[in-house]
Formats: sequence, structure tokens, C-alpha cells
Amino acid sequence: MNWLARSFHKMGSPPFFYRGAKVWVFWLYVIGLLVLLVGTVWGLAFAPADRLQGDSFRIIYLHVPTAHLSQLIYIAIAVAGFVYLVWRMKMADVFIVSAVWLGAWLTAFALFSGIVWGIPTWGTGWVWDARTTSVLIQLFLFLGLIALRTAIPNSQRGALAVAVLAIVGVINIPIIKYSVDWFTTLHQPASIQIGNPISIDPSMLWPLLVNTIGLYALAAGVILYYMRINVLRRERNSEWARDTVDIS
Amino acid sequence: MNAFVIAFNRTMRVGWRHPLDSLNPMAFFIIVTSLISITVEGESLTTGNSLAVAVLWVVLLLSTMMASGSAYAQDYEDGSLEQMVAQNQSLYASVHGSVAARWFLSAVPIVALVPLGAWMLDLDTEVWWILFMTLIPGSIVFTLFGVLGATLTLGVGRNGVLLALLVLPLYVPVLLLGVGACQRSVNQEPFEFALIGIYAIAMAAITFLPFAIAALLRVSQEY
Repeated sequence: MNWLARSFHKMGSPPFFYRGAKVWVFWLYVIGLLVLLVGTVWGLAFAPADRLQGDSFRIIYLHVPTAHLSQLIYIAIAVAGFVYLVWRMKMADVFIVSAVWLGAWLTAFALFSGIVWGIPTWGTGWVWDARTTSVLIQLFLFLGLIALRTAIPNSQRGALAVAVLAIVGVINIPIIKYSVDWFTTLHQPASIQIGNPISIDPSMLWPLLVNTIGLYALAAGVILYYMRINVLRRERNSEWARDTVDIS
Repeated sequence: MNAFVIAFNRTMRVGWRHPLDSLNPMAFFIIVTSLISITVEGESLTTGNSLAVAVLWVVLLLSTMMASGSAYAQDYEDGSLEQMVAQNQSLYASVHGSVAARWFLSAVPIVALVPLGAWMLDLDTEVWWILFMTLIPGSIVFTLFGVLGATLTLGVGRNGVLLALLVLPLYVPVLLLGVGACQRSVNQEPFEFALIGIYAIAMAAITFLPFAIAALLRVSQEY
């Protein structure tokens, strides 16, 4: 068995995960916060102001990474749901339970920062165009996942139901992604597209990339942190969990 | 094919013997539409036919969700669902059968009431045909998602609000396309794209959602 397959199997084992993830949580928090600090200061203080939007464009450094990451978390939850349906891997369900709250908060923040950005640039905080609407629906989908998971008392059945709902809801993601191209609406097309020349100046782009990386690291740290807690709670009756917590 | 026919006939017979399950959503549709006709000023409805179209779509959506939300609940409680899962026949075909029957029982009567609702809301008769063209695939998708929501919440008791929270976000693409097609037709704009889109979603839902429903039914008997 090669290294990759072996570590994949080890990750599925709760005690190994609990012990191994501790270092990762610490370093992901440290790196994520540092990189996010660098990117935010760079973007807010040193990047040039936009010719048309002035300083208000700077909210891009928070709006775009959160919006992007919230979509990515939804897709990751759907993938984890698929993994759970096929292999019944416990850790996939632990991931879903731990990531769903973060996804909901990031979506809410993306909507909020979009409203704040929309007031000076569009002249209105909210427009019922395709993209804002579908991000709002993404928030509702996250809330639905949370509600369903807490409503079903049986853990295994709740996990399966959430997995199915996440997979069905993932049809929403392409609608979000392509809605801007389908309908000509107020929301500007994405500035960074694969295969097209980037329509944003490098001096503005770099802080954005730095912030995106920082937020990725921080989000991974937060998810791992909650996964550790959830693993321990779920395995509270097992021997290794009793040894780890050391109830005296 | 056999499992399809058995499930279809059975669901139709059960529905026939509980007529209120179909009549209550119809009454709901009429009452909500008349409440809106009473409260919204007459002029604002006639000046924009688009508002009347949106109202009809949303009220139909809510009625179909209510009607299909109780799918399989009785079967789950009295144990016939267990027999359905245990029998040596395709559960996928059986789900198809009972969803089709449920569509006839709960969605078709409400779609048949749409002319009445359109009359109450002063909608031009020219819009009727596009309304039916979009409402038929739309109501199929609504029924399928409603049954999916019902199987997700099987055995969760008092699941009304939870069902709405799970199912309503999934309805949005179809709702937008359907209302968009009708409104564009009202404004004499091209609407073919939305029409194709809504039929494409309906075909995909008919093909794939019964898989998810069957998987959830199986799970409900395992744990």
C-alpha cells in the first residue's frame, strides 16, 4: 500500500485523526491569521484606489474570498455526502457537521459585504438579480442542512439524509456560477476566469490572492478544530476518548 | 414496469379513499388567491399581469408542497413502507409509480384550478396557454421535490416548517424560469430559453430524484 492510500485510511480512524489534527489546527490558525493580516493591510492601505469606484472597491478583499470559499464549502459538503453515501465513512459525516456552520456564516458575510459594497457602487444595497438571489438560496440551503441534521435524532439516518440533501442542493452551484453569463444583470462578470486574460491589475490582484489563501488556511483550521470536538463527542464512550480526556 | 403499476394503483386508491388530502390543498389555493385578490388593489393587478402570474405560481407552489409533504407518512407508520422496501422489485419503479399518482392526486387538481385563480386575478386569457405550458412541468418538479422533502423528514413528527425550509430553496430555479417565461410572454419578449430550461429541469428531476427518494426510503427502514 502506498503512502497516499495509507494516510487516507488513517484519516478515517478517529483516534489517529484526533491526535494528528492538533498540530494542524494550531499552524493553520497561525498561518491563516498572519496571511490574512498581511493581505488585508496590503489591500486596504497599499493597493491603488480604483479609477471608477475609488476606495470602495477595497471591500473586494473580503467579499470575493468569502463568497468564493462559501461556495467551495458547499461543494465540499456535497462531495463528503457522496463519500458518506458510498463508503459510509464516519469522518465524512463529521466533516459535514463541522463545516456546515462555517459555510452558513461565510455565505451570510458574503451577502452582507455585498450589500455594503452595493450601496456606493450600484446605488442600491440589494437587487434581485440572478447571482445575489442564488447566493441567498445557498444560505437557505445551508440553514436547511443545519435544521435537518438537528431534527433527526438517529445519528446515522440524519447523516444519510443530510448527505442526500447536500447532493441534491449542489445543482444550485452551477446556477450561481453561470447565472451572470445567462442573464445580463447588474452584477459584474467575474474578473478572474480560467482561459481569459485577467481583467484586474496585478497591484490589485496580489492582495486578493494573498487574502484568499489566508482565508482558506483559516477556514481549514476552524473546520479541523470543530471536527476534533465532534469526533471526541461522538466517540465519548470509547476507550481512547476516555483516555484522552482523562475524566478523574 | 410491474412495480410502477402496483405503486401507482395503490397510491391512487389510497388517495381516492382520503379525498380531503386532495381537497384541502385545493381549498388552500382558492383561499390564498382570493385573499391576495381582496387585499391587492385592483388596478395594480391589471396594470401588471406579471404580478398576477407570480402570485399564481407562488400559491401553486405552496399548495403542491403542502399536498406532497405527507407522502409516505402513513405508509411509514403502518408498516406498508417496510413491505414496499422488502419486496423483490425495483424500488425506483415503485417510487416513480407513487410519485406519478401523487401528481395526479394533488398537483393536477390545483393546476386545473389555475383558470379560476387567473380569473380572480384579472389575468388576460392569452397568458393561459403559456401558464399551462410551464405549470405542468413545474408542478411535476414541485411534486418530486415535495416527496423528497417528505422522505427526508419521515418519522420526524410535526415536520411542516422543517419541510418548507428544506424544499423551498430547491424550488427556486423552476419558479424563476416559469415566472420568467410567463412574464416575457406577457411583455411580448422571447421566452423560449426559459421554456426549454424548465422542461430540461423537469426531465432531469424525473430521471434522478426517484433514485434519491428510493435511497432515503431504504435508509428509513434500515435505521
